[in-house]
Amino acid sequence: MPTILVTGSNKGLGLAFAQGYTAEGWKVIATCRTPGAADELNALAAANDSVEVHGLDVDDFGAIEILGKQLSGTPIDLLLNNAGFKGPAPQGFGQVDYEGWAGVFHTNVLAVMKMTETFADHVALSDKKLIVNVSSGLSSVANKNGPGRGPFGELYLYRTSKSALNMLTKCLSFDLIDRGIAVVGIGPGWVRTALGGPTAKFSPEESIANCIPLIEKFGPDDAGKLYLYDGSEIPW
Amino acid sequence: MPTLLMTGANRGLGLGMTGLFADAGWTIHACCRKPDAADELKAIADKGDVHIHALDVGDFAAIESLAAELKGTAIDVLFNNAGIMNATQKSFDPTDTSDAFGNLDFDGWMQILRINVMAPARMTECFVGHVAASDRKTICNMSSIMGSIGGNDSGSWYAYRTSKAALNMVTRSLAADLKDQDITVVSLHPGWVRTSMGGPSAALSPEESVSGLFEVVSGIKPENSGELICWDGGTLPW
Repeated sequence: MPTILVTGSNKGLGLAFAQGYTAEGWKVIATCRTPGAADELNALAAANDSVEVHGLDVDDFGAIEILGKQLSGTPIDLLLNNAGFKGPAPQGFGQVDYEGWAGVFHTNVLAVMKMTETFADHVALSDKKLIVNVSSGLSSVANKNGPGRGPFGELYLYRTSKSALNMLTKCLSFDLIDRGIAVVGIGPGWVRTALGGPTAKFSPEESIANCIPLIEKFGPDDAGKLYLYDGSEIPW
Repeated sequence: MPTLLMTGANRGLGLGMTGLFADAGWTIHACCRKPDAADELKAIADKGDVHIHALDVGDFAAIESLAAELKGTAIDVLFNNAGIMNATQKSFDPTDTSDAFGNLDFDGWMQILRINVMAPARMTECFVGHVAASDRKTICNMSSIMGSIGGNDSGSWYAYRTSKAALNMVTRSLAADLKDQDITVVSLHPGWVRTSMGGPSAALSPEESVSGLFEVVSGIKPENSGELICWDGGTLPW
């Protein structure tokens, strides 16, 4: 039975991933900031012995280290760095909240690095040896369809954090491939979550129905790449 | 003559470019953290139309104050040059592991993001009116091929590389947002240069890089907006 560790698993895509991988028969290590309030995740864990819930704020790097030690020796086939957020609104030109921007970088980029530094050993012990970072189509610097003009406005904080995350994915792919670990980015599409809003195209369930088979096919040749949910590559 | 505002003008490429633009007769607002210690910049100022301002670009309130001080001054080229490769601003050191997997200096990373990404955004927010009032209406962000994700074939330098990738997204977003004001925004790659940042084994002399960048900046056209341009005039991938 393969094992996944997924962050931010109390709602949105993270919850859908936890539910989806449980249905696929995986062992699921699901983390979220406040397990006491994670009713749906707790219900999943109550109904499935294969699901364990851990409290983790990914911005608390000391807590990441503690969880890493607690899970020492546990092989993790798929580290899914899912926790992330859009940041304070508005975030258009002339409206930038710089403290908020720092917070977005910390959660969406630095915490992914800390998770990866901490859990690379666990992933190296596993069969599949995958680390997947949840990015976004809005991360694309090359996007010819109007950089800075995504469906939600200019989004300086969010977009720059995801561009930086893509660079992190690329850098990690070089450092970890010698240990057989493939680090890959995915864009799950525009999803009806707290981040995507109610008018988005996909439900979380529809998105992960695309993403789980996509991730299933990932291997060393995919290291350092960024895929949209439909399997196409997102340009940098 | 046109007017240039240069950040990080006391050393390296910022100093070199300030000298070339001063020689060409431009009016220059040259910013650096410690003007008192900027002897080479002061020597340039003695010979040209160069106004030196104390500015730490990490101090966003100071950026606002300088913009207010220069209110009514048209700035043809806003050159966001100031940047750091490591938080302690040491010279280039290939044995430095503060930016290597397993040993990341996260506080340093945040500082690098503040100086290399947020400060150019804050400078642009504060000086957009000055640029819009000029003839050339150009904003240059000093990036690097190290910020090109597609061009990254060796990894490492996590903090620096992610900061420049994020800066390139800032450039692209600004290019879209400021198009209505006819402002052109580009990222520039100076080459690997023998500065304190680039180290002694780098490929280019500062003079080669600076003269190339001078040509590039002098010739920027509106259709270049949103591009990453190399010191030799070529366009680089994201």
